[in-house]
Amino acid sequence: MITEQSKWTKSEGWGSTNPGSLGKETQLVILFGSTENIREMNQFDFIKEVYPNAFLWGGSTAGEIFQTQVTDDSLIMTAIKFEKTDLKSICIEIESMKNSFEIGSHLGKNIDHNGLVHLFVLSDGLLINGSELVAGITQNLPANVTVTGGLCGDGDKFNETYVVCNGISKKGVVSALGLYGNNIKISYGSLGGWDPFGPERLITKSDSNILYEFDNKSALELYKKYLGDHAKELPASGLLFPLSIRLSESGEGVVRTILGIDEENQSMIFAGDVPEGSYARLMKANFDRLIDGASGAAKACESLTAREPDLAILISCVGRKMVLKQRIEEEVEAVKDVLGNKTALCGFYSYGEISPFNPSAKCEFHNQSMTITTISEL
Amino acid sequence: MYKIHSLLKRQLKKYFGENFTPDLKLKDFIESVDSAYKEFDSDRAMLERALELSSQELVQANTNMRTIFQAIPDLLFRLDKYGTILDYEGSQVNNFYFRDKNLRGKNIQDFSSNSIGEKFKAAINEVVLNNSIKTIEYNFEIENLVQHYEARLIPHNTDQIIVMIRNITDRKKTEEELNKYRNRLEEIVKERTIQLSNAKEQAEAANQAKSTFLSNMSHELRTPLNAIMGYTQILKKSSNIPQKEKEQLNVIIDSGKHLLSLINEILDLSTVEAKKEKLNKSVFNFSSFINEVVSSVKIMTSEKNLSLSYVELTPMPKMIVGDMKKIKQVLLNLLSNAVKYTVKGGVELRISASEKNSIEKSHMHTLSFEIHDTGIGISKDYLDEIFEPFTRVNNQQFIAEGIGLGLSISKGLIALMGGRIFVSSEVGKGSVFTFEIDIEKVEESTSSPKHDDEFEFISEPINKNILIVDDITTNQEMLIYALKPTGLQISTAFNGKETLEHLKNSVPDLILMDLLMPEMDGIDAVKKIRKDSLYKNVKILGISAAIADQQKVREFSLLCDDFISKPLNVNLLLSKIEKLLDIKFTSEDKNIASIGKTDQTEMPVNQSNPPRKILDQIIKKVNLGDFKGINQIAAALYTNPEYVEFTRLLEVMTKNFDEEGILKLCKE
Repeated sequence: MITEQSKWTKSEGWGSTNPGSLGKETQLVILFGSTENIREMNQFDFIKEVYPNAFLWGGSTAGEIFQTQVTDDSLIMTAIKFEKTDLKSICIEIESMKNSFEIGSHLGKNIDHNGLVHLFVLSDGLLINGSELVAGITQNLPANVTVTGGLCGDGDKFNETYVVCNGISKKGVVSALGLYGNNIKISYGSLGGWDPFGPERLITKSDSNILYEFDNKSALELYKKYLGDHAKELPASGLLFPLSIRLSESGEGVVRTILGIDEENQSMIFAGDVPEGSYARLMKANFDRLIDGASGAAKACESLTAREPDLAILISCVGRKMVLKQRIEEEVEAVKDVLGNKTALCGFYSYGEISPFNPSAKCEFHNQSMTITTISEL
Repeated sequence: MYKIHSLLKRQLKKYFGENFTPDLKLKDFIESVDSAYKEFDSDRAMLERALELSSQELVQANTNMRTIFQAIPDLLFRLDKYGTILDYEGSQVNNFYFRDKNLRGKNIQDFSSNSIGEKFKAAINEVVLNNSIKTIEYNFEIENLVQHYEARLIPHNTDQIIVMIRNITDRKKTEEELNKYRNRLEEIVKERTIQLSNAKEQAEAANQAKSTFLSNMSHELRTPLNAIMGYTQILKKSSNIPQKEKEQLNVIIDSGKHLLSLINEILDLSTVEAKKEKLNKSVFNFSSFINEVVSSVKIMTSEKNLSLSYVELTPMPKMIVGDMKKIKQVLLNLLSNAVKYTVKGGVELRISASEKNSIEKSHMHTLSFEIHDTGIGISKDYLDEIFEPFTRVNNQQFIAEGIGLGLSISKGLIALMGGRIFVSSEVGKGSVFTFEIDIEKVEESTSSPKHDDEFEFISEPINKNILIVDDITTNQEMLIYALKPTGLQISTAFNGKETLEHLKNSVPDLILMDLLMPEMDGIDAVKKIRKDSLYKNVKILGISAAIADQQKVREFSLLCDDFISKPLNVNLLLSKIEKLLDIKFTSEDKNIASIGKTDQTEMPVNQSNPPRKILDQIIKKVNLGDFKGINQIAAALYTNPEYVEFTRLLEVMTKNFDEEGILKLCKE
């Protein structure tokens, strides 16, 4: 497996790395870019010209990861030539289905299971309930098929997100890319780095991923109180206080991030389920732990693979970027430190991450985490 | 206007002077640092704010919790896994737990007795081990008052326990009171049950007494009637009685018969009601049985100019097994009733037989008898009552014979035979009485035993002496009259003393000894006779009316070889004499002898054994060697005429200390 990477910015165009040396042999080009760059597809023709046989696949982001750089308003491209691996993809419009679980089920059922090793999922970031999507996919796949991926982003605007499927950008779709063959080697890891604080609150009113009340009081009011002046920047500022949800007395907590607010209904829309009767605590960032988290995710990956992987796809939460700000690249560097210099890094800041916590756990939907998927060909 | 962060501004001024102008690249750097300073400030402000808000919330939550604790009347402890009190809450200032001012660090087990402490220890271990809730109850005395407590232990965090202690003394009190009430209620129910069962026993005893009274009464009535009837018949035989007087004697006989039938009805009902009647089954020829019944009714119908027909609706079995006498009694009763209440038209008897379908009863027939008449009928209002005693069709025109017990007796007899009776009727048109009984089938080859009056007697000359002892001449003469045709040699005596005198001259083979006589009664006489070995071969047949003192009758019957009660059934008397003297009378003798016989004057009550319970009591007493006790039981049994035979045997055996005999008697 051979990769080559390139970055495009408005001011500098395609950067110093000259794209195109893999040429016709490229089967897959992964594209991550700002909403505008993906939506407009201005550079797509050039890419198609350079890699005439490649399948163009990717999405809009809240920040692009290129090597150890984190940029906004760019378009990054990773071209891959597989030696012994086949690809198949599927794309489905969200509106055509009743709910997120059905979309997941449809994807899981309709992707060819024969020889399938790994499924990489990219979804619209605003119109989906991530937990239900993941549940639908995993329940309809053979147990040995692994799943990772993420929800596309729209900077800190939470307005519109795009998925690139077969060279075309679309809003309101979910796409899955299947990797086939005996020689592909996938590993993954996911870690957070957020600390819960303050009292535990009982979720007394919610509907799937829409939260109304904690302890019989408006959840939105509570967030506004905590955010103070930043309340006007909701929903983006809500990412500073994600929720830790404990589903049962002894259950492990999951992290949920805010995707939107509804002033009229006094409700908040989360990227995943916030079930009634579960307990929630506000979380705050811990700088050191965020970076340790990224490094921990990378270590989880490393433990799965014997040698340095060829490519690592990093999907990290927009919330981390908002907190780490100028220090955001530190978490990418931490990953690079673990994986080594031979591994090409690409990725994006997302509205939600899909991955098991660790190799033995089942695939779950996360928020506020750094999720890493590494790919190698033996 | 761009405003640089105050700290950065001061730092720049300190290191570069007030009028410092950076070049372009340095300016970009300073801007970046400035932005980072501002971001940190902003983040810090937000976190400080979050910390403050969060603290406020926690303080509020804590205050709320404290108020809630105060509102709860329970004591709350937080313990570590060894039972050490970490902290506590509670509003009960007077509680004994608070007598100790400093609870923290003490162990919850140390506040009460060892046994309660152990209870706590076990509960704490269980809660820690199973991570489950546990409740214990305990009590102890405080200022001479028992206080009950309930402690609820709830696992908390990983190795702590929350304990809620509640004083449940009031609840316990209520429970106790409820228990008391419940027990009291149970007692009342028990008392009432006993009262009811006593009342039931009393009622049963009263009914029994009534039956006994009725049977005794009818005996008493029959004894004089016996003499009247017997003597009247003797008188009538006399040749020198003018025709007019003979007709008057006939009136006496008819009235006597009527009176006797009334007495018999009462006796029948009393035995049926007291459920003393027993089935006496035999094999008999059905068609000759029916013919006999029909021909006896024929006399009644022809007298009233009514038609009488008999129809077999189905083929009837030749031979059947059943209590012929009782079936006959019912049939005659229903048929004579039909005749009684019919003026015009006639009476019809329809009979049918059907096989039982069920497997376990496949050997049974159901016989159905329908008695149709064209009589006055019974109005619907009375249909339900007619089977009740002393009820009769309410019509002045028909003041019929009897006292209205016939249908009650019939119903009772049918029930005894496991059958049922019902009636349909239309006023002015007639009635249909139907009764059904189940009878056993008999193989065709089985022959019926001969009827009572068909016995064959072996004619043999009789050379036996018999002494009749009775203080009443009419009774003596009655017996002489009855026994004369048998060819026995008869002599008489008037009391015990005379009997002993008589014996000195001539020793009879058999003495018929009355019990109650002047100068020397039957008991003394028999005792004296039995003392003299000269008379050891003399048989004695005791005779007494049931009116006599039961104790005496019993004693007397034990002394005699056999006993017969008045009024006398001549057939029974003859058969007893046959047995005692080991002879046979010819049937002719019997026929002649039956002149003195009145209808159905057999032993009035069927003999049977006492219930199992009493038999078991006797067996128990035998095993204890308590013969006195057995005598007491026997004395009690004598009051019931049904057990006379049994009791006689029992007493003889008891007298002889015949343990084996008694056991055999009771076990049979």
